[in-house]
Amino acid sequence: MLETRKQNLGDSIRFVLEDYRRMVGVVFLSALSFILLILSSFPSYAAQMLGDSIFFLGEVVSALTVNMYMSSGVLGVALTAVYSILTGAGLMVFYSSVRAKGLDNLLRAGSFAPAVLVGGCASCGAGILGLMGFMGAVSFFPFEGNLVRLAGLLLIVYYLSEEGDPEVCNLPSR
Amino acid sequence: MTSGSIELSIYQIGALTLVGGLVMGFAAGSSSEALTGAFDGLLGEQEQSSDSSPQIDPSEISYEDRPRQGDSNATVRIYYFSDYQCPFCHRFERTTLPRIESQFVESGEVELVRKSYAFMGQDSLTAELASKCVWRNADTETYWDWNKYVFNQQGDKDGGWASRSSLLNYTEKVEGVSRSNVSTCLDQKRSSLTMEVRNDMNDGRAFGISGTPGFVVYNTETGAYETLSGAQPFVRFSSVIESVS
Repeated sequence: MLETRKQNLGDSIRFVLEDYRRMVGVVFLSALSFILLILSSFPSYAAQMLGDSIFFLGEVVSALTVNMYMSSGVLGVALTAVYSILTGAGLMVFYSSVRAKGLDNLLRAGSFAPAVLVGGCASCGAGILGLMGFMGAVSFFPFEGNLVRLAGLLLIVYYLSEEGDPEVCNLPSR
Repeated sequence: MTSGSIELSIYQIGALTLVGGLVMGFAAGSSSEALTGAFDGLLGEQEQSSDSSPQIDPSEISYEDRPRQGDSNATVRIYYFSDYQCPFCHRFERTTLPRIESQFVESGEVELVRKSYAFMGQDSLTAELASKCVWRNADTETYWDWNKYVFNQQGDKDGGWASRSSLLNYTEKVEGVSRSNVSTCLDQKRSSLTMEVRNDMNDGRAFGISGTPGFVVYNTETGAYETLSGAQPFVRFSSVIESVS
């Protein structure tokens, strides 16, 4: 069973790497995911700056990335980056799976959603909780939220190991 | 172990970590005795509200005894909510504050009032209390020198750089303020100053301050105001100051 999962994980990664259009798609989705996570770390700041001018995007992303580094350390930024890359790959596999296997497969492919929710929530936690009035709450997240980020990351890996090559009908891993 | 149970375990781990983190955060938030002082004001007795409209008028923001600089009769007053342990506040202090001081504060157009928003950790409150003691025992210029000095020492959250002894050591290195006076103030006025920090934080929350640094830019004559979030560039402050003037 573990062997099947390892093979599925390899197949799904190979799937996004073997075609340059998919790779471009993954790079785009990963970058978008990273930017959204970074912006959501301080939403009121991002909204005010970008509401004034979209040309502030570079400054906002760089300032918030540095802020994340100062708050959560290099591990926090690295986990967010890896999480973004895997989210990009996961979204591409998810899209390909629904396209190849139709909506019947949507429920199974939908197991991707909790992964995005968990990892995304950790990265945006400070900002969103702050907006809700729970500013100090993030201080009590285990390891400044890095443990929750790691959980989200593991869930995406799990999804990829479940899905395998989305254009191939796999034997169930159970 | 079946694959079904493994599947469940993985999702349980993810979900439990998330829920655990949230519960810990909210539990700390709802306990008024969680941290003597800092998070009392932060979370213990706060009125949680997602309403973006302020619950008080800017003229009601507590102002007396707050560290400030500039003409007290200036038309525009900026309330600056800050935490010494916040890296984004340090960024503001380094990049934008000097320009606001030279172009608006020194010209008499703006009065800048520092408000405490001690939410990042235990030492945040210690630093805010020391800050208030320095304000009571030094002139304006010395206070802002001290403020800058402390921000320049910023290190890891609750890593000791903002402990009482470290703050007193910094005080010794800033000319114009006595270490012993600040130390005595910390001992004797802790309770009243903690209440002051709590009031500052309540003021911030009333204006929807959801992160530091946070600002309320207020025209003391017309009552017009705008809020700013984060370490925004000088051009944004300039534009908002012009807008409320």
